[in-house]
Amino acid sequence: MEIKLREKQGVIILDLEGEIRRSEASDVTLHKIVKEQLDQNKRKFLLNLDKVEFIDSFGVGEILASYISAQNVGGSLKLTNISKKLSLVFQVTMLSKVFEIFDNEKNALESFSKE
Amino acid sequence: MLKKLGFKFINIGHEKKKLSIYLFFYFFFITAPFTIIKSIRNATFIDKLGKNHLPYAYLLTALIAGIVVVLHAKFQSKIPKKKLILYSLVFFSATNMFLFLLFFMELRWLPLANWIWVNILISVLMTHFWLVANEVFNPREIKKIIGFIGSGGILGGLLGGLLTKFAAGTFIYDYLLLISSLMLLFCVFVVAMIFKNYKDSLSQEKQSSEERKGSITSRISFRSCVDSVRKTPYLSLMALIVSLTFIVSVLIDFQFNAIIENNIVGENNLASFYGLFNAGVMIFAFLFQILITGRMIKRLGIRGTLLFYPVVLIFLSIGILFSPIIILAAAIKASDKSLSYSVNQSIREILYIPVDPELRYKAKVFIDMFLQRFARGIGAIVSFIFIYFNIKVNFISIVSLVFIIIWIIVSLRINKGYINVIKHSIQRKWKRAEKSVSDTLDLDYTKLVFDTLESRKRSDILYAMHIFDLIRQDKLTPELQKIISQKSEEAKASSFDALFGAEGGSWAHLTEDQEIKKDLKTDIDEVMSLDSYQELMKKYTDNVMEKSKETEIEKMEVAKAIGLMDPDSPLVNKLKPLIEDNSPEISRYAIESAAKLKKRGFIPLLIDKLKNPFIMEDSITALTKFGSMAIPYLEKSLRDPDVDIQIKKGIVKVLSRESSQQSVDILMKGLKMGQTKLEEDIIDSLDKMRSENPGLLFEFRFIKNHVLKKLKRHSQLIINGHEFGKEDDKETSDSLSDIFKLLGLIYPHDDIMKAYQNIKSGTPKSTAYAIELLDNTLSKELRELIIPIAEGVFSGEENKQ
Repeated sequence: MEIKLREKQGVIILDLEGEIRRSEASDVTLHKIVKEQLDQNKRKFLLNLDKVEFIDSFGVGEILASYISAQNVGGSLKLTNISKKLSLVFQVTMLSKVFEIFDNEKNALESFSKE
Repeated sequence: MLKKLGFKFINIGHEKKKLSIYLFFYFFFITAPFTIIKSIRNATFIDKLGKNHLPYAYLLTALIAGIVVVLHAKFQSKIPKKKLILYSLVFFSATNMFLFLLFFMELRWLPLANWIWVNILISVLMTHFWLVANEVFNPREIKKIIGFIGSGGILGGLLGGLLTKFAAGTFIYDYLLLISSLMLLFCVFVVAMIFKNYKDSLSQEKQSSEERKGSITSRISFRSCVDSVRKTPYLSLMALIVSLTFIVSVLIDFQFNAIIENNIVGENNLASFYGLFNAGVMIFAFLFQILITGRMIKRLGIRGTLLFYPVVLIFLSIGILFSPIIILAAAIKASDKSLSYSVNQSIREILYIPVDPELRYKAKVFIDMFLQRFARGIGAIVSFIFIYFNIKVNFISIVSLVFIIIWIIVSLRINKGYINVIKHSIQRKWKRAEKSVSDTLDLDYTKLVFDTLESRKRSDILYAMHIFDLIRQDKLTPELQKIISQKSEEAKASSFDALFGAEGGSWAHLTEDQEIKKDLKTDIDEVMSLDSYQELMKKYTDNVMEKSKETEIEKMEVAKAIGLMDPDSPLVNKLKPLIEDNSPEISRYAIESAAKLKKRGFIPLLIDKLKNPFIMEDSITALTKFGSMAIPYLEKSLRDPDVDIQIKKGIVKVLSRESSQQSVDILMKGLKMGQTKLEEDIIDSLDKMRSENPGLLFEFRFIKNHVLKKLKRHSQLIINGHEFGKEDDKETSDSLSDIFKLLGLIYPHDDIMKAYQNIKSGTPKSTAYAIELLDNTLSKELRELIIPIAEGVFSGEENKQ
């Protein structure tokens, strides 16, 4: 999996690409990157899952761990551009009740500015 | 130059220093003329009417005060606050001049009318002054400058008293009222400057919209003022304290004037005495205010300071009871007045500050304008009784003592009320997420769903076992079945869409029927328990284990299958090498199965796997499921100096999820061992447990000492030049976070977290309340170190100095 970082309107956007799975994980995991950004006092995160083909339980764990780490220091982590099928799975597993999920980046960024 | 004059007394932000100077003069130019007017009032009343008419004066004042409050409320709703205050000053200046002219006419009713008018003057002007002070400054600022601005009032009183003393018996005495009128007019200019500067400082300071809304704009009526006090327990206590204070004050005033009347004769002698006495009281009050009030509030806190005044009066009242001599009369009256002007006024205004601004305004209008006078009326009734029954004036002390004891009891209650009001003035900005996530999600189910969907393209066997696992746990919901049974026209691919169309779709179809599900469970369990099946699986497993890396999928299948078997199955032993396998996928399935089987022998292996970042979370989850069985192993590894630090960090996480008193005790031992690399993780875990389980116990003394050590280290970080509390300095920021997490273990957790979060990222007002909350919650030793640090986080410069 590849993770690209960019910043827009004070929000760190993580563009995830590929499969978020245990067997493909490298030393630089999603949670590690989020923690590094938190150490630099970044508090707003948006995961862009537009190019994510697959997530396994490890990937879900990474996203949840990142969410918890951000929340515990007063930050927030949101998701955008998830596929319809993934959205269904998120609903069935109640992940949609944990994460704020947006259809597009623009709406997600607007929600951050309202906080 | 300004520092030499007095700026050094003012320990607040630069923009507020000018305002505090103006408030000093505002107070000065109210109390100076008031002291003159009061001295003349007392002298003419005692000389012309005598002490026996005093109760009438008190009662009439109380009655008329009610009318004044109603009128004031009507004006307040029609006129902006600034204009109301300025017009009041002009009004009283003008009426004072009118009285000055009337005094030459020697009217018999004038001393009584003057008495009433003077009381109304001071209650209105003082209420206005404190309204302005409370609006301009927050609780922390008021505490710092109360000594300074209070001394303005005292110096004004001193000047007024001395002027009266030296003018008595000279031609200047006849013009003192005119001079006092001019002083009131000068006050108009000072008030105008305050409003101008306050407006400027408001535009510089970022205020939240809620705080701006809090400024008084709404219409009020006398009824709403009464209701506000009646319906708010805290304000009711304030009202009671004020009432008791003024009842006692009237009794003391009556005792004092009665004793003076018996010893001094003639208006000039009386005016001279009262002038000198008031001046002396003011000198004492000024010195007390400057030298002691601030220190007393800091040392004794709100409660101690509240009790000081009534305790002093108890001793002096007992003295007068047995010996009603002029010296004791002067002492009790002087104590009453000076402590009232200094300590009592200061602490009362501090008690008002955390109250919602609109509520505060209504309460002040009712309490300071009406209730004070009403309380004096009650004091007057008691005085009447003593006059009517001709009871000796020293026995008034008995009645005073009763009221003072009630006053002390109420003071103790209001201190608690003050802390509660502060707490409710600030909100928690965020909470730990672990509990809300675990309350919302079934994490095991979530992972199983994703594993099920993932396994469809990897292995039909794995997929089947996952489906069976879901059925077994009764978690194959209709919604999930729909997702699983969706077909796709595409061939096998690595996209999510393709997963739903893979061969396993027919499985879901089979499991729609509840009866079929039940039969399936029973049948599979039965098959698994057969010796022949076990034998077959053993052979298969041996075969798979002997093979090389290409058998990753088979090993995953075996690991999963073993987890579905009975814990006494001989195949369970085959799980160990699978747990130890280098492949995180295989290891993970094996770890999951180990958690289901809960065999003690797996625990050391699972602990060892904590060092692998790709399966650490799975190991943590598994060890948590072992519960208390794993605790001795976890404790042993935590203590072992040779164990990898990553394993120890994982153990800390396991213990925090276990969240039992035993876990707390083990982590506390870990903290005591001084493992600095683990300290942050341990503190965070203890904080998590404390937030989820308030019933857990933490060793107060050790934590307190640990906090003190960390505070000293934190101060050293600052001295060594780290950016003061600035967010980009990780070490300082983490240090502060740890300090507050530790405090949250031994003090009310929610209060400490509220305070921390508002200090870190609140508005100036909420930060001030947060620091005030800490000031009233922590022990003295901790307070003295933390408050400067907390204030420094908010405004770096002052505390660096």
